[in-house]
Amino acid sequence: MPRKLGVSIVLAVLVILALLVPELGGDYYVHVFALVFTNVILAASLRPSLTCGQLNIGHSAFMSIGAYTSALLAKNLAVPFEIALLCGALLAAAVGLAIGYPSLRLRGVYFAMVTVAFVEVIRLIAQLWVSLTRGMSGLSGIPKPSLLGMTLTTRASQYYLVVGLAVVILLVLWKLEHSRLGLIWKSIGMGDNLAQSLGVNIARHKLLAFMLGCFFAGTAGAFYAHFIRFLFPPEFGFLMATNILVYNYVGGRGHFVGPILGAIFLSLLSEPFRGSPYETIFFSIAMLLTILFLPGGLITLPGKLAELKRWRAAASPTPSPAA
Amino acid sequence: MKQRAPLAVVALFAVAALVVAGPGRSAAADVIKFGISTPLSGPAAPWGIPHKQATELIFEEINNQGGLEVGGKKYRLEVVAYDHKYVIAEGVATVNRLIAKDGVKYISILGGAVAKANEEAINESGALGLTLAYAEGLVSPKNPLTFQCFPAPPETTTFWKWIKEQHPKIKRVASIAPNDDTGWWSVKVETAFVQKLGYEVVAKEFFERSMTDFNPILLRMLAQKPDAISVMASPAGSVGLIVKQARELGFKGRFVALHQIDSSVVAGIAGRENTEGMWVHGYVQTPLPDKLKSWQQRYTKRFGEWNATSIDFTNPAFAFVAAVRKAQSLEPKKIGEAMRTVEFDNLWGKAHFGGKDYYGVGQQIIYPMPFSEVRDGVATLLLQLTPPHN
Repeated sequence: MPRKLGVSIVLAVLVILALLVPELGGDYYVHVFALVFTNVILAASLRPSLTCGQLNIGHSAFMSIGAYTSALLAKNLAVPFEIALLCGALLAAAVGLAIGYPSLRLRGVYFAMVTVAFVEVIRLIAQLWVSLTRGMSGLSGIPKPSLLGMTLTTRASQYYLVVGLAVVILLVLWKLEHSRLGLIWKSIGMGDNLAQSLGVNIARHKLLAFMLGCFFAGTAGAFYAHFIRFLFPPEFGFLMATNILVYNYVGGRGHFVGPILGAIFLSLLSEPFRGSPYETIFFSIAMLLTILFLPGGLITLPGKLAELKRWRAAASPTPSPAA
Repeated sequence: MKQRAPLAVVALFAVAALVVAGPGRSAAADVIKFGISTPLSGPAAPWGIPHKQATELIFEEINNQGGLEVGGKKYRLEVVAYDHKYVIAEGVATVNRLIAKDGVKYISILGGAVAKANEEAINESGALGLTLAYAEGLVSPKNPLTFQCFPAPPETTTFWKWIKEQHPKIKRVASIAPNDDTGWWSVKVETAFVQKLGYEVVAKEFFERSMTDFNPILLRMLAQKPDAISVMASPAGSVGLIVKQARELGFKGRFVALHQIDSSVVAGIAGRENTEGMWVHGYVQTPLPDKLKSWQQRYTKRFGEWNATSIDFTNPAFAFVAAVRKAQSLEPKKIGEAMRTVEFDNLWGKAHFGGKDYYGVGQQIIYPMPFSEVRDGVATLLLQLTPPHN
């Protein structure tokens, strides 16, 4: 089968399966998969920064900015959902610019420390600015998402919205990664001094990758706000930021699909165990096994399986010619 | 080939996910499923575990007697409990799972923020919500099927009247509470109540739940020379540290904890002598009424360890069973109507839902609330008081 045809068939099957979730799973799984796709956007949006070699442990802060901006605009000023979402994403990107411009000159653990601090700063602002965000009382009464003036009242319609958002964002990110810009990001990640010596403006490209990630994290946050309809500052803390990073590493950083796989796998991992007293233990063991046996991420599973098959074939006794 | 393998993995995962998802389970005809969304892991688990266990024990005892009779038919009661870890997204996911996947129509939620986050889910689904939560606005006409199942600050602060009568020397009050909705609301309600009684509120301080060094806050508070320190809504571990550090700084007055708190945990951290004279709501070690002694024995036998927090957490189960018996229906709306008028027994006496004068709706549990004083390290029952609103 030609490669392109194979890819198209797999993608078509995936899209059909995604669209069938409301039919096959009912409202609960619509809810679960809507959050899975939100996590997919978050995980994928961190990839440009990671590709540039910047360890960003503060992505949840930008999700939070998008969530609160969109929620407050829609709730207090009756701004239509589409515009509120865009404003949330743009403000996240603008804050990304303000934070990224001075801090992206830092490398390795120093940049990571700045992002960790930033998560706490944003969480505390959301917590302490009570008159705006209602602080630890939580922001409730956020309108449901709408499109062209039509409120998406059902969970299924909201699910299709996030599937649409995820598809568009993934396409944009995929295109960018496979463009000249993506190559530049990769070159910076592999050796920024070398890239600079070839004339690449590494500060500008790192900033662009960072801002782009912030924009899409803000988009995911805005959707999340209108989907869950309750915002609580601790939700966007360090744990969420770490989860987004973990999606990338567990899925595998070596391929565009890695973060997507990681987000799907980890978001769904606890579901079969939910309700069991050993839920947390099962989750931890499954994650440990993945990290131990697939250090390159889930994306390396087919390769590992093929290797195992080859090894078993080589180990089996060769039939004697006399037999 | 390089591109195909990862896509195949994605496809495999998607198929597996849908297989795992499957269609929602339908409830067996003769089973009443009662949902619980509570923290079973993490720092709030000491509340969530007895919440689940208390409900399970009450239902098991009813099942052992043949089940719950509704419309001439016996039903077995079953608990479907999920851990929300005190995380909002998990709280929303678990309630959504209970409603949409497990077909549960009656849900008990523990935790103010989680209960608030699920207000609309409960209202839209028409499910019956039985909360164990401190959250402003939760008991309200906009939540017609949400019933608050343990006393909240508007009820427990009535104890200050007794303090006023019995300890008139106490005039200056300071408050310390967690820096969140639960703490803010508690202090707001308590301040308004004690000021009406003529007390002077000399300090109000809020702390992060992770805080362990309270000295800076306490120094500020003690500079105002309070006669009593209220630790409303603070977890037992924090209260232990507050008591210990305040005593070390020379505070000689009373501590008042008008939320349910295990004073033995406080004494374990602060020391018995430092905890002496502390007033506590909802936690009694002696003398235990017969009903509570029996509950303690049954609970210990079933779960191997006694947990006094379970006492008030039996309320959702008692209220639910009583309302179903009265309504003789499994419709949440009809059970809700019965809930507003039914009188039932809980472990402290006769209980009902009321508070319409205060909340605008009669959906707050009302019963003779127990208050105790720590004497020789033991929480000793002082008196039982009914809330100021009926």
